[in-house]
Amino acid sequence: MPHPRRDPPRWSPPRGLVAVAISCALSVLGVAAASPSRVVYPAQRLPLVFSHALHVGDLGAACVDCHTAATTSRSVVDRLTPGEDACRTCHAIDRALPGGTGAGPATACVACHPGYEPGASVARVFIPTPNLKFSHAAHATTACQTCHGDMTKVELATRDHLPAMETCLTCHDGARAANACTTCHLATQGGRVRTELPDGHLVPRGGVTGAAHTLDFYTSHDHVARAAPDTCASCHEERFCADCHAGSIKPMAFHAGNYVALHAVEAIRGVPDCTVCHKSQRFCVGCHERSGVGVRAESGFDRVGVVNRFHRPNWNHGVDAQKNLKTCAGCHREDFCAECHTAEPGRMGVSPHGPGWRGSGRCRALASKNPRLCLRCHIELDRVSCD
Amino acid sequence: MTRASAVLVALVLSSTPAHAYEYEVLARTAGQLYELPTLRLVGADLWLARRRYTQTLTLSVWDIGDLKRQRLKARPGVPDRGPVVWLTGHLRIDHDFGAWTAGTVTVDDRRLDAIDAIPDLAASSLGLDLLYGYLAVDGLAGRVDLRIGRQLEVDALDWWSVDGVSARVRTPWPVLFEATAGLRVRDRSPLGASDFELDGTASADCHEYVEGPTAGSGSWQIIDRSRVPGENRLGSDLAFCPERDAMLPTGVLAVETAGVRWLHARAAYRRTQSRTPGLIGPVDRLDFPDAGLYPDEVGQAPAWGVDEEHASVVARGTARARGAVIEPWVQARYSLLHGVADEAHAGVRVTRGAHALEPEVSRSVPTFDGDSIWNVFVVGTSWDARLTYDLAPRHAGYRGFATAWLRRYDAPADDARSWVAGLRTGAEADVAPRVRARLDLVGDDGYGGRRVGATAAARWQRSRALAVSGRLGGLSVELADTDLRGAHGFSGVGQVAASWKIDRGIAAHATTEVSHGPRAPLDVRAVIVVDLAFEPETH
Repeated sequence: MPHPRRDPPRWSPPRGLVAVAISCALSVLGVAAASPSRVVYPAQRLPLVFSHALHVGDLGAACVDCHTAATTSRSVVDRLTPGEDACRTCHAIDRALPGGTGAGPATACVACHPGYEPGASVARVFIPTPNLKFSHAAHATTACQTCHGDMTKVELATRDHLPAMETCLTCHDGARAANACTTCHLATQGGRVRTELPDGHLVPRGGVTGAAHTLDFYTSHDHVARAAPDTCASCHEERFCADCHAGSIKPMAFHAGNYVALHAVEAIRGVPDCTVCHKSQRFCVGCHERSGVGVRAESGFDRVGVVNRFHRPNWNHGVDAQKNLKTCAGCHREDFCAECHTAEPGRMGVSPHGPGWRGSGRCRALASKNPRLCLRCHIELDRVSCD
Repeated sequence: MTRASAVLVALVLSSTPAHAYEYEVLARTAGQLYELPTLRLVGADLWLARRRYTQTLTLSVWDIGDLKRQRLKARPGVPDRGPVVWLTGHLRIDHDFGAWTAGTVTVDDRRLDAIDAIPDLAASSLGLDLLYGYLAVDGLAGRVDLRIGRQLEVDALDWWSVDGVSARVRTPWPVLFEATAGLRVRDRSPLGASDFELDGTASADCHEYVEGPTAGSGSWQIIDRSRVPGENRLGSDLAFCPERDAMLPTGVLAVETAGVRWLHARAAYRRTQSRTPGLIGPVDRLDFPDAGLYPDEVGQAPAWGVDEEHASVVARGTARARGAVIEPWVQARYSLLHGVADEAHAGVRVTRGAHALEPEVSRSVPTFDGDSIWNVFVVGTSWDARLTYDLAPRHAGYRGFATAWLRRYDAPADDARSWVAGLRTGAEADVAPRVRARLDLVGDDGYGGRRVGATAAARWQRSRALAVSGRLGGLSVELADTDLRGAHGFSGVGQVAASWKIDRGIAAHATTEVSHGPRAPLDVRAVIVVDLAFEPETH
């Protein structure tokens, strides 16, 4: 049996690259099409020809004339697209005459099924079930065009004519109708939004929730999380946060490679803030001492005269301490500072306070709320005063 | 026999029907194998093994008592306002049996167990942590949500944990109130995690005040464990520091907007305090008058001290104008303990179609827990400015971002090193069916040093069950003002990872990483994770 004839292969740019280039150009021009989520409304296959403009606009058909179950359906599982029976109401279709009967409105198969050839199977329409909860019956008093738009100018209806979340929230504002995420979105057993769906991962795009999960969101979500933790909790359980922020597994994407050897630049600057996940005195100091980069480390590299020193000779520690004291706290325990910065008898007695301390609001606040702190250096409190 | 029968009958009559609850069990087992270097003065660095076994277990039981289910059955279609009772908990076992924690350290010619010399290692040597676990009652009287137990909180203040009770009360108006009372979680709490300690003295070396020949002439000294009866070789000085044991009563009050679509705002107040520790142990163990942990010969030690006291406000709005979504936000935190606004952050995100621009500014002052002497040190303010551009066309199969940032340190001794600036940019695209690639670039210069690098990554979703990913990266670092060996130079890394969904609720992940750097020509790490999620269909 001969193999089907094939044309010799010709080079063509990868479809992905072409798509990226075109959509990039469109988006830069600001004409990127807005269509509903593909995760919520999965991709459809609609090998059909149909004009809503003709039927609804010119002929004045009502939506329910064809979508008969649209006012009674209580689930997205229900199939609301009309079948051939609905068309037969006006079109005298005779399957024995695929070329058409010639009577009344179009009756040839190709009039609705483009490319159909007699004897071949009809290309199937595929409309996957949306990953939503929705009852058309509950919305029966709402005009169809409120959600689906003006269909009198539309040819074939596609995913683009399904409502996006912004449309839903015009009524679901918490007052007129419930605005909990799981009113419409599928929920987990615990009542959170189910984000792992068969057609992808559901992530916010911003605008509605104010939490657009952009490409850099994993390092820039702090102010969103602090401002609206309940928004995060709509999808994420606490363990999602804890696994990373209080994690015990090295995050290979965030701290890739030998980050341990390279982290000093970021730690010294405080950008990003290490203390969001790591406590300076609990995590950093312990690790530094074990790795030989600490005052009590067995390497002893801090000793005077040693070439392999972290701080160079004549280094002015005060300047850097004032810039980011948390950096000091990453290697040194406070007793190290207190060896000199103390009022204890017999010590160097270098004041850490700086000019203007006495009389400052900071001095008064600390002394009034926790005088234990003062006792660390000033053993007799009655000799200490902020005035 | 008659009595036994009567008891049996009574039990049968008084017992309630068994309920089949919806519940969820998630288990994750992770093994990590890698090495970390220890600097040596002479010769090559010593490499210490980390062999970490981490097991997490999450249990959640929903709708205890079937209250919600019965209501929905009795009144189908009627929105349910509660009450609903449920509980959840997340437990973690973390054990490092490598030389990092199980090895020894030489201090002053004495070989000590690593944990004995560095008590902070104990947390990862063997930690059993309940990260959260609480019973919740939602919709009590239709308006009140209660939580009892260990809770994790993320809000404008920070990220913290409390053992106690919290209540959230919704009102008929667009505002709700929240109150929390309990003990702040710390390392020494039952099943407590060290991740939630206040930062500062709480984990520092534990000192005690040792009185001198005359009152007020003593000094602070590290607690000498050799005077403690029953000392064992594997013990650490953590055990002899009553400051670390102090309970931290905490209270929170908050008011928050609710149901306002264009605005979310919250104002909160939190205070944590602790009683001043007294004697170290139940008896005076010293051979001279023991004044306790703090000098107190004339009663100068206060009974209580504040460990933190913060007031915060956060607001985030949403508006639309000329086809753009405008989201301004502001958050600020004032430390009443320090008398200073230690954090302030404001910005606005403007999104139009696929494009978003977000300028932001922030200011921060380092603060520590109330017992830390660093609170009285001269500290400068850090100022940050950041501008981010995001490109995220819908369904375009690609997205990207670019962030330029600038930080200035306000230190009294101002110099050119008070500035640092950087740029980060990245892009991600679907380059082939089921293949997504990403490229990130980073560069910065100024205070602290200079960095330039790039990372390229790709993920291939081979099938619904199998995904393979890889990453290649390089970073050149020049750390400023140090002679430390290995702190400068180029470092490269390569990673290969695979995720395999073996069956419904069972997945395995494996990652191998090879890196090369100025300190180590070749370093290999491996992480293996097994995810088990038992989500039964009940009823």
